[in-house]
Amino acid sequence: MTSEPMDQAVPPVAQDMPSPAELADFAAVNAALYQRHYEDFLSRRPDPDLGRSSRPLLLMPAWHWPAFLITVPWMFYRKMYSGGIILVALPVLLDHILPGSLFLGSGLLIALTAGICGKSWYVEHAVRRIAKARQAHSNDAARAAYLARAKGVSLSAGIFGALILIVTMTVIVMGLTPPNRF
Amino acid sequence: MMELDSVYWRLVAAGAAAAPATAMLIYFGTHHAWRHLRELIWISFGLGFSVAIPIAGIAALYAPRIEGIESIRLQAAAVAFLEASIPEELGKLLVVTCIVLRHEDLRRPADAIVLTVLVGLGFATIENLYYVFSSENWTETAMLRAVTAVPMHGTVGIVMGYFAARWLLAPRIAPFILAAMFLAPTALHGFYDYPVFAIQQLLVAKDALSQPAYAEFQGIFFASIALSALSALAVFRSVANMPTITGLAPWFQTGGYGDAAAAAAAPAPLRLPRHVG
Repeated sequence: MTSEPMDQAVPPVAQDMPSPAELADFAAVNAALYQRHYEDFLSRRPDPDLGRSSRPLLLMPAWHWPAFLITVPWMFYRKMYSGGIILVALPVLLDHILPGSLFLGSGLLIALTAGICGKSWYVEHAVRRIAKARQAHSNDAARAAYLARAKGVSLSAGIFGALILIVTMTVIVMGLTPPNRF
Repeated sequence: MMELDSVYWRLVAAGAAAAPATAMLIYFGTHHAWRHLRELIWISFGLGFSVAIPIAGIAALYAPRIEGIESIRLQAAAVAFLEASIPEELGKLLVVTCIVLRHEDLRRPADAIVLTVLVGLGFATIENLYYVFSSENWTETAMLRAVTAVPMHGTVGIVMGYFAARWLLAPRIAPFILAAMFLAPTALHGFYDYPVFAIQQLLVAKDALSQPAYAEFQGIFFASIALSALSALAVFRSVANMPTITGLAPWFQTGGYGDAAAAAAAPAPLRLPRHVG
């Protein structure tokens, strides 16, 4: 049986790496964007053993406007909570160590980094979540139940992230930060 | 008293302020009973930590109005509830309902209790840092808060977590449980803070220490600690007798696993330590 040209174009995937279709299913909203990025990554590193022993970071620079413009809300919306927490706390800590750094561009630097790495961060997050589902749950139904909760986006978390960011920055700009006011 | 004028002493003070909550974080984060929650434990702690500064900022907006109140009792009550307990517990509630309870690693309703405690401890860490750094006697403040304020945040977290666990099991959105999730910890928190702020006011007017009100506020303070401890014990006793809370959540049982055979093949639920129920 001859394979279709489309099949030939699909890069080989290591056993514990998700397929591009699985990743697209995980991303749910704007899935094609992340799927293309993942396929691009796989085609550049077509090592079938990739990730079998130690998974490398899936870092491949590609511009992503949502990650640049609304970094923290986007990370919370995409359920990347650890990253979101770090990016809320980082400018605050920097502002304490280097007063005024917020105005000197620490926020812009973080936004630029997120704009360049955003897609890769999300693909990395998705790959790790899918791998965790496979590792933690031996049967298909259990895995599907876990992924159903893990995949997609969370509007409430996105709104929460936006609120936290706006209020935190307002607090710093208005000088309401502790210890004066705690 | 060691002055916080060198980097060394500032680091020591920061360590002393963060130590009580961090010790609890390490305990929960490394205990085998919650290994499935390891990532979520750190996230909950971090979210509690992140939400503290915005909450302090919001409270600061109306703090000057409260400070203008002349009556010690009224001012202490206003600070305790309007400036401290209501915004702080609201912030924690937002974290818990918007993110923690929706996380995929949450397998059992009882997990919500552990995670809500961690949100409270994250909050307590940054609060502690700022109290210690703004104190004239930071060693005393750090030691005192390690045995009072940090356990208080943990205890109200237990109470909020109990209602969070009940909320997870409710068949549909249950406004009464959600209200209890906010009101019960807020009342406990405010009841703890009220005598603390009242005594602070009395200490400012030194001759007021001889007033009978001082003993009264001390009594309220110890009563609030006893009430918080009893509430936490009541939660442990209640949870211990509720398999629906300690067992796997419905979304990890038949609903999630699809059918009985698959459910039987699912990994057995982890046993919680006895002191948690």
